[in-house]
Amino acid sequence: MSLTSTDDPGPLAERRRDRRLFGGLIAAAMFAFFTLDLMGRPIVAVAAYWTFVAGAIVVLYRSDVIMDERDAALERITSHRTIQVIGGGLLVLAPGIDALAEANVYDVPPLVDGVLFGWGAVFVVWGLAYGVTRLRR
Amino acid sequence: MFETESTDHDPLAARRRSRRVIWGLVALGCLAYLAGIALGLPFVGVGLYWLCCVAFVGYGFVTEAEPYDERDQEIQAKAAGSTLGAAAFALIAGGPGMAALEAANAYTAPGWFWGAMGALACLFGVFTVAMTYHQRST
Repeated sequence: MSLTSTDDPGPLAERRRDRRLFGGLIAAAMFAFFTLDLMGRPIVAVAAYWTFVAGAIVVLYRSDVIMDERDAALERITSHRTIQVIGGGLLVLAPGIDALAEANVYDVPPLVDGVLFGWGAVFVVWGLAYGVTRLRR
Repeated sequence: MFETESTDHDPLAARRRSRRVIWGLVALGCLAYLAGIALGLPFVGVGLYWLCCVAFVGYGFVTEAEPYDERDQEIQAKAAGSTLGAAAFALIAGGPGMAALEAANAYTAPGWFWGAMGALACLFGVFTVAMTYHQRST
């Protein structure tokens, strides 16, 4: 071994390894879920899926190199934009759908009600998160 | 007019005013909508509501005042990040879990449940598009 070579893998290699580990665990979770589900073992499939996902989450939180500040900032601005787009869609569509039902013109299937409920729930969570973030500063 | 009197642009007053306009439009739209429903004229109510929506967006383009400063925007973005985390958890835990319960004939989810899961999946579709856009633009 020459004097200049090093055993220390360095942060970039570490990041590559952790990212591969994370992606591999997510892929394994998907693969396990669909394979076991097709084999007619739905409960086992979900248990395996959650195990792999839990492993991926552990990797994500234990590793301090998988995401740097730049990634975190990008994620924040992207989440902000996502909430704005979904919020705009909900605020524009929901009263229109409700008015159609009120006028007895068209009743949407429960699936659409579920979609609106899901987006509404996202906003309630956002409101709570906003309140908590604001109070903690 | 006195010579010392100033017509200088006051950013704080402008911010207060722009917030009042924005929230006034929101309140007006909601009131118009509820009144339309109560009076049995749902389409009139929705029309007025959408008019207020258009005015809301239009005001954002026209005004030079920023209704929210960087600090507010940062808090909003942080809250959005936490929200997406919670939504990811609900989707990852809820979707496959309910699918398994249904496949095992243990419990059948009501119709709206899959709509809500679809809404969350759609949220991440938008997130992916936004991520691609911001990655390209930074």
